[in-house]
Amino acid sequence: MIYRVRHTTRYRYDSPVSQCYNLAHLLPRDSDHQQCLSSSISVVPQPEAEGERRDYFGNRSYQFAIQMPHREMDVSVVSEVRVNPRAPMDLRRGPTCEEVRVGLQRAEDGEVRRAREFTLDSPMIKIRDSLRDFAVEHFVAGDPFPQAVLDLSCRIHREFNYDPAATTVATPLHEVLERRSGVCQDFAHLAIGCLRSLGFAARYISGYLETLPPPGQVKLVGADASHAWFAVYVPGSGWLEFDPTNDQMANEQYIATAWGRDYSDVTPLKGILYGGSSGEPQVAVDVNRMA
Amino acid sequence: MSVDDRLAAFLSGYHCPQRVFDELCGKERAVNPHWRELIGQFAEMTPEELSERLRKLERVLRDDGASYTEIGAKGAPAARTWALDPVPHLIDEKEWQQLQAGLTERAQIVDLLLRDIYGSQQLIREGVLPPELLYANAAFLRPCHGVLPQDKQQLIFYAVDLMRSGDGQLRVIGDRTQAPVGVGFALENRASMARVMPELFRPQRVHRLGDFFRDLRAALEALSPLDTPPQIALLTTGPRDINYFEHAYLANFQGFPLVRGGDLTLRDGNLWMKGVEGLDRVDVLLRYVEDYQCDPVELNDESVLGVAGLLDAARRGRVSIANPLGSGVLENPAMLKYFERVARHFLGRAPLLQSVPSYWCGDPGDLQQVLERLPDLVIKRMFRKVQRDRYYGHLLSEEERENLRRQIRAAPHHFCAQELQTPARLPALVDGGLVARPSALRCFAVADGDGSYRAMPGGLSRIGASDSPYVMASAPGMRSKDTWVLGGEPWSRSARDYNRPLAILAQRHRTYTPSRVVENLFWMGRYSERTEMTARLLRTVYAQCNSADGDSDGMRQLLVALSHTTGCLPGFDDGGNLWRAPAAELEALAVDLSRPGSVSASLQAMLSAAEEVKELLSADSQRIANTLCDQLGGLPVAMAATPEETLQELVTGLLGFSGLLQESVIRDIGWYFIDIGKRLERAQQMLTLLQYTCVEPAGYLDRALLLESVLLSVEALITYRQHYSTQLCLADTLELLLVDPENPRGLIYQLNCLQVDMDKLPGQASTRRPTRARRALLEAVARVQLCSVAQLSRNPERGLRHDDLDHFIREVRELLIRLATAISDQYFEHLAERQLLGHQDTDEEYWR
Repeated sequence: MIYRVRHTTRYRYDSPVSQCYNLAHLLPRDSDHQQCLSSSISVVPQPEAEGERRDYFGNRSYQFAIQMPHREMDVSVVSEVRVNPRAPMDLRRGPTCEEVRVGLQRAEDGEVRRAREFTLDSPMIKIRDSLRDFAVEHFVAGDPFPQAVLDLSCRIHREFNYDPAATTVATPLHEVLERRSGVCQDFAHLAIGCLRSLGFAARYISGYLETLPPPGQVKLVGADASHAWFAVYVPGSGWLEFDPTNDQMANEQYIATAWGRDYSDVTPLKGILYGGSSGEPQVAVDVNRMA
Repeated sequence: MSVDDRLAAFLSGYHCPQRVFDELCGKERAVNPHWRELIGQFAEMTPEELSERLRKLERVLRDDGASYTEIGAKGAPAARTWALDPVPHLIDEKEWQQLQAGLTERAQIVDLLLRDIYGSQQLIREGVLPPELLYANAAFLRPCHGVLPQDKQQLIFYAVDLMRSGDGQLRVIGDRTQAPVGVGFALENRASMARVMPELFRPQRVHRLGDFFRDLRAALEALSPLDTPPQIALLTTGPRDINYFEHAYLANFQGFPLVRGGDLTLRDGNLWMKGVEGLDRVDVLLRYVEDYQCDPVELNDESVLGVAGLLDAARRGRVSIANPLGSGVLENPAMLKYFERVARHFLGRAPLLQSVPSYWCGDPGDLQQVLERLPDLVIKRMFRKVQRDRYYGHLLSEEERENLRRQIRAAPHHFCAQELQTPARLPALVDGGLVARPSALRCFAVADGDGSYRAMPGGLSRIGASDSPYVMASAPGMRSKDTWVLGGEPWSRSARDYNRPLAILAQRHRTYTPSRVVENLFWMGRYSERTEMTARLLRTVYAQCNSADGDSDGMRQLLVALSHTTGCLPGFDDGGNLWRAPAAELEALAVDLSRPGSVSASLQAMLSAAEEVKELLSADSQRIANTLCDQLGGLPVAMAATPEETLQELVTGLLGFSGLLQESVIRDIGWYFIDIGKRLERAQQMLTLLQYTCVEPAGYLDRALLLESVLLSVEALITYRQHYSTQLCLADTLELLLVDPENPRGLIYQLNCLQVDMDKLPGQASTRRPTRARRALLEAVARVQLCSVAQLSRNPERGLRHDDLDHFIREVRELLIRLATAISDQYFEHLAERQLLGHQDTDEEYWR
């Protein structure tokens, strides 16, 4: 499947911004499941300095500075991404929870050792007893691990209320747990926090999900949104991706932009600006099938 | 007494505990050969001579401004003079050869380790380092990964902390890999010793330190992204940094501009200093700001100490930073445990320098040991603020230990431990005799460009305040020592390091002055003048209250004028009767810090401005500022007792400060900004004072009271009486205070000075059309020169105001305000408030 993704972000300021320095994670990366065929980013006003690079996690990060006074900033990205079909998996035939735990601890090869980075605290996700207690029942030592992760994901879907009004971009994890509500970023963080609290390696993925209009209706422009889900590391098999917001594993409809330890590693757009004052930006996302 | 007897007496108080290494004496308490000459020289000095030398040493250090900032019990910073013990630490030639080899080898290994961590991470992949040692360390800055090519030497400036254990081995207790502090203090120690104790050097062959500073400069120059000699700047956090003295000292010594994050900006991908003269490119940054604070875009976004976009500029090779951002990860004390393995990985053998036996609680075996052997260990937290999070197991109560064990179990990765050391003893001079004190040594090395390192032949030795070995690191009472590596060149007076390094300060031609600096100097000038004027006027008012008719309209007008010149309104201008019982308000105008315009508030503002630019102030000015600071603190008590005398003393102190600025500050751009501040303020104050004392109608006696008060408060009464009749009249007063060009407190005198000062500012004299500032000043001068005092002072009809005078004052004051605004717009920085886009609150502990 090939998708065209258009993602625009517009900031309006009450007073002029004299200069700003920004960092964007908006250009889709390549992975085992996808290739970014083309992408272009355009910023208005024209940045004085800009550049793209690979960050520590292999994501494409784009940094730019605007040094003329401005009251508006538009960042728009258009990308074409080929997403490969994923082979169906029998989750009950994976390694057991105990095997995964031991494999991570022994860390017999370089890849597993590097994956241990994702078992630790990160800026927005801290290991907590409450998270372990919430999830521990799903991870019985002799049970298959991938199925246990899906059960956790399913539990979050079942017990938590998807409520865009309940949280900001990412609310502290313990609040999400208490309020039993949040958005996709929160659910991904929650699952990651649970897995890490049990000693597993999990990472955060930010990207897009193709949404289909109800049968017989035309898809609205700008109706899509950026999405977030998580991946868990299984020694020997690599990273498996789950989406607790939609209670499924990631499939051909998932287009990843970037991954990291949590949202703070892959914030779509962040920066420092001098002057101005702004509210929330206007964001519009369109995901369309090309072929 | 024979020589031997004197030596024995001098050593009578020197006792080194059992099983502790003694640097001074070998077996049978015999002084080691390389110490004999030196200790003999000390023993020969009479107690009077010794104490005289000590006094001199202290004075030299104080005059050089050698201080470090200590955070007091209440969290308030206080400057402490650097304490130097006069007995140097001697390191003989053979020992130095070994130490030097170990030190430069270790620097090389640390460099390889740094390159691996921020490059391919082979050490993790191959299991040499456990993953969590790196990945759980907040000082591992992921955005810094891959910034520099892995085949290039990255560690430029390195220090190692050493302690000599009971067996005589020097062992590493810590690595300093960000911006090692101490070379400036070491140089100051050497310079002070050379001035106060020159004869000690003569019989010795002490290695000089000067070469090391040349090497350091060469290493920084070699980082230049350009072919031309680079502009190197030293990045500091500012005067509140505990080591600010060293930053300023090193910058002055090397001739590097001393800058803060706010003085720098990125334009077109390059790094620039924002100066009064415009932008000036920076190619290499010697950084004394912690790495995670250096760039709010990619690192800690709440930091205001760095420069937005700095890391990316380094990534693009537009600027080089020493040491590179991210190098703080190696200061993690848990690394000590793995250092030998790392060395074997790179060298295939054990390193020359051993580390103190260390444990990391992220390792299950170590965790068990640490929990069991807590009383034998020093426990450290792995991350930042290492110094503060240090626990000596044997000093804790059982309850505290249990508490610590709980913390360790909860987050084992975050804790490490070292075997408790019994540091070697060094001789120190206490009460005229020698005593043994626990010691530690910091040594320095700098990259030589070929992948290896050069060591500083010397270092920073520190000794404890008491015999207790566990209160060393920058604890109150800690003293330092000049460290002599023997086997160098014979003594020579002309050698660079025996000259006073600060002499370089005076010769230095400053090419760059940050806007921040001139702005602070300008406000220092303004506030010093404002404080002085307010104190004088207030003193005059107190005097008049005591002598004059307190119920007169003259008194009322005087008090109203006081409220207006201070800006503390409505005050006495409340239309009511406050002026009839003025005591409380007068006291508030002196001591109330919360009222801008009061003596205290102005003085405090002046002192804060001075603090911001303290590296530019002479030691004497610094001392007067300290005295003023004391006076500020004592003002409430003193004012309650003797208001007039107190205010007079304050005025005297302020005059001393102004006088020094006048006499001892180089006439560079900074001085002109101080003077512009003072002149503008004095002119404005004069105008306001005249407006509220001479415009309103007043009876004969009231007018006399007002004029006398005005003349008294501007120190012009005596001049007046010499030049004019003994009777006070408005015309003569205005003549003297407005248009007499010889009166240094008069209005036209200030305007003339402003014209001279303005010519010296960049972009003023050279432009064909006058600038906005220039135009305002020219107009004001013309207005004053062309005014007719006769007309301004002409008696209006009985009971009416002096409208012409009022109009004149308003006009001139308006022009001066325009002048001040134009100067501010042209030279000071006006950066709008900073905002964060897409900011996420991270766990507050994350950046610790």
